[in-house]
Amino acid sequence: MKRLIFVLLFFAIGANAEISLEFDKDRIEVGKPFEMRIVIPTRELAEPREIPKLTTANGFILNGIDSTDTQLRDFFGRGTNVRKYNFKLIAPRQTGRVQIGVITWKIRDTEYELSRPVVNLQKSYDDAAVAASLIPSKKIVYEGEQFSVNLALHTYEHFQGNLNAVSMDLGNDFIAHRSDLANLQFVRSEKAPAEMDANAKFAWLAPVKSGDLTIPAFKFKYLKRGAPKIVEENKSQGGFSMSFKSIRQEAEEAETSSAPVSIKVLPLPSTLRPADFSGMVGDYSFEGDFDRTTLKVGEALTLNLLIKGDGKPGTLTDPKLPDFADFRSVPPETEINKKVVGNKVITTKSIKVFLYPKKKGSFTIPKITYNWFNPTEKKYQSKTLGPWEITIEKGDDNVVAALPVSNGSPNVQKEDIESLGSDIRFVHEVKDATLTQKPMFRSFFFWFLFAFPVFVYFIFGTLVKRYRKNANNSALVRKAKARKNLKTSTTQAQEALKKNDGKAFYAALENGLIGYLSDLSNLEFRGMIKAQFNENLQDLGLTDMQITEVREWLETCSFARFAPSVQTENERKEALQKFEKLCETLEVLK
Amino acid sequence: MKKILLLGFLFAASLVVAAPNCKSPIAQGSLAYREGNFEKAIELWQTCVEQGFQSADLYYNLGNAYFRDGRVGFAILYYESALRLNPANEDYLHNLKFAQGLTKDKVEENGLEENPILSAFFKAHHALSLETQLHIILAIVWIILLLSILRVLSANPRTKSILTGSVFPLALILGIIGFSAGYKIYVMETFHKGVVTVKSADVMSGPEDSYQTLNALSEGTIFEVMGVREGWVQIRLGEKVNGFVKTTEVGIVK
Repeated sequence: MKRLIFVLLFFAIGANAEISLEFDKDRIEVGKPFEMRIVIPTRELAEPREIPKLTTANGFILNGIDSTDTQLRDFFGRGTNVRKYNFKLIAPRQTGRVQIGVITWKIRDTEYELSRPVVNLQKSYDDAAVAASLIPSKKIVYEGEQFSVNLALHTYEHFQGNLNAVSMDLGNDFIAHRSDLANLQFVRSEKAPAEMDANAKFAWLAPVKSGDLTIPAFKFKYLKRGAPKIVEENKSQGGFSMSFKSIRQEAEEAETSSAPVSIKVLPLPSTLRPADFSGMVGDYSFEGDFDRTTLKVGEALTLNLLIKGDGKPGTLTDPKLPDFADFRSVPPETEINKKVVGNKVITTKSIKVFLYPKKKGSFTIPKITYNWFNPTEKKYQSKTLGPWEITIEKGDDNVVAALPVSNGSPNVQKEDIESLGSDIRFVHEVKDATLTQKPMFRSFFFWFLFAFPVFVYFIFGTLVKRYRKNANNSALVRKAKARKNLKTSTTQAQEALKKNDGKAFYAALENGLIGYLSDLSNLEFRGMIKAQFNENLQDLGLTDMQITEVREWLETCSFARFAPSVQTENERKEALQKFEKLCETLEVLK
Repeated sequence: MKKILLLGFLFAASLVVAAPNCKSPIAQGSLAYREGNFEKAIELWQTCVEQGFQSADLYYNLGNAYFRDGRVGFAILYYESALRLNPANEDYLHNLKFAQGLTKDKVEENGLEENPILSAFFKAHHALSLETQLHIILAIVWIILLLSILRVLSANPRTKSILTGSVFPLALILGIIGFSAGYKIYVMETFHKGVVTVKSADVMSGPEDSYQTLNALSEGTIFEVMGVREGWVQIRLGEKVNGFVKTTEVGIVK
C-alpha cells in the first residue's frame, strides 16, 4: 500500500498532476443523490487494472459507476489527460459527518485501499430544521398511575432560532404536573457540531380513565434558513442603470410537531377492591395522631393527618372521617402540596381537624383507614390509624370563661388559643345593643340641628345690621333721644300732678317741650330770642299755626309756673294731654 | 306640687322599665356559647336581632356562633353586618377572613403590596363610625356659629382675627369629616352585599324557577345585591355572574 501511494505520488509530482477526490455538490443533503469522483492522470494508470471499487457503509447506496476521459489545464495552460471515475450515490437519512465507505482498486492482481471518504450530510432546506419527540417513561400504566414524559428537541444546521411552542396540550385524559421548561438547555451534538440537542422531563401524568389514550402531538414554530434563491436587483445611479444577480438565503417561519404518543391504560382490578377505596393509585403513606389525649372541657383537640404519595399529581382524596358525635367540630383545615422528588411528583395533603369536647368523660374515637392501589405490587394496600381513647376532664371555670369570651384585654389568651391551630377570635361582650333606629342622617332633627345655625346666624346678622344701620342714622338717634327725654319729662309732670305741685308740673312740661325741640332739631332752643326761635322752627318745617301753638303753650307754662294756684287739677290733666298731642305733631320735624 | 312631681317620676320610671332591652337573651346566649351550646346561643341572639336590636358586637358574636355550628354562610353574613357598623374592627376582619378561607369559592389575595397612603386614608376614613361623625359635624357647626356670632359682636380687631382664624381650621375639619361621612352614606345607600347561606344556591336568568340556571354559588360566597323583589334577589358577582337567587338561600347584609 505504502509503495503504491509512493509511486502514485511520485508520478503525480512528475506529471504536475494529482489524484483527487471531489463531489458534484457543495452541500450534500440527506436522502438525495450525489456523485463522488476520483480523478487520476491517464498516464499514471497502471496496467492491468480493474475499475475502482466502492464498498458503501452507513446507509449510502451506490447506484452505479462510470468514467470519462478529459483534460485538465493548470495555471500556465498546460494540459493533463485525466480519467474521472464517477460514483453515483444516494445519501442516507442521518445527518453529520459520515463515512461513505471504502474505495479499493485492484492493480496487477493486488487490491489496494485508496480512500475512506467522509462526507458532511445535511438536511435539505425544505426539511424541518427542528425535530421534536415525546418519550413516555411507561407505555402501559394503570388508571391513575403516574408516569413521566420527556420532551426531546433536535435542531439541524439550518435552524435559526425563535423556537416557540404553539400547542403543548395534553388533552383531557390526564391529570398533569408540568415542569418548568425555562431551564431547557441545548447542547451541541457530538456527531454534528452544527446541530443541537435538548432533552428534559416535560410532565408527570396520570390517566383519568382506562383504554387506549393518546397524548396529542406538540407543535412548535421556529425560524429556519430557506433554500438559496437567485435574486435580480436593478439599480440606477447617475443616469446609469445596472442589473445584479445574487444568491440569497432568507429566514422563513416553519412549524414542526412531535408524533402523538399512545398509552395503554389498564383498569384497576375489581377483585379485592376495598369498599371505601380512595381512588388513589401509587405508593402512599398515611400518618396521623391527636395532639393530646387528655384535655379539659373548653380546650381544643387537634387531629393531624398526613397523606403522601406519588399518584395523581396534586390530587389526594380525603380519608373517611368518623362521626365525632361527642365533639363539636369546625370544617377541617386542609393543605395540599406537590413537589418533584427524584423522577416523581410527590403530593402531600395535611388535614387538621379541630374538635371541641362537649362534656367530660372518656371517649373513643374510631379508627381511620386510608387505602390505595399500588401498581408496582399490583394490589390494594391500606393503613389504619387509631382508635384513640380521649379523656375529657371538667373544665377550669376560668379557662372556660376565658376561652370563648374576651374581657377586653385577653391578648395572651387569644394567642394561646390561636396557637392550637388557626381559628376564629373570641366573642365580645355586647354593651350597646339598641333597637334599630332610623339612621341619624335620615332624621329631620339632625338636618334641623345642622341647618338651624345657618338660620340663626342669618337672623342674628340681619338684626345686627339693622341695629348698626339705625345707630348710624343721626336723625333717628336724635328722635329716639328726644322721645326718651320727653318721656322723662312727662313722667315728672305726672308725678307733680299727683303731688298737686303746679309749679313743678308746668316746669316739667316747659322743660320737656324745649328739650324735645332741642333734641329733635339738634339746636339749643333754651335762651333763644323769640324771632330766632320762630325762624328756627320755620326752618325745621313747622307751619305758622304750629309755631303759634308752641309759642302759646310755652307762654302758658311760663304763666302757670308763676301762678300755679290758678289751674285746677282737671285743667292740668287736660294740659298734659294737650302737651302730649302737641309733641306728637312735632315729631315730623326734620 | 309634690303630687305632680311624684306622678312625673313614676311616669319616667315606667318608661325606663317599659323600654325594650335584650340584655337577658344576650347574657344567656353568652352562657350557652361558653357551654358549647352554639345552637342555643344562635337562637337567643337571633331573637334579639329579629326584635330589631342592633349592635356590631352582637352581630359578630352571632357570626361566631354560626361558625362554631358549622354554618359558614351565616357566619360570613353576620361578620359582614358587624363590619358595616364598625368597619375597622380587627377581630371582625380576622374572623371574616378566616371564615372566607373555608368557603369553596375562596377569594385569593392578589399579592400586591398595600399602598401605605391609601391604607392610611382607609384607616382614617373608618376610624370613626358614621354616627360619631354626624355628631361631630353637628358640634362643629354649632361651634362655628358661636365663634361667628362672637366675631360679629367683638369690637376688638385682634379678637376678630383670632376668631376668624379659629373658624377656618374648624371648617376644614368639618369638610373632611363631612366628605368621609358623605361617602359612607353614599356606599350605604347604593351598595348592598349579600351572602349565600345554603350549601349551593342556583343563579337563575330570571326571577322564577322556570328560568334557566346560569350558575351555582357555594355557601359563603359574597355578592352585590342589585335589588330584591317577590322572593328573589337580583345579584351581581364580578363581570360574569349576573342573575337571580332565591331570598331563602341568601342573606342580605344590613
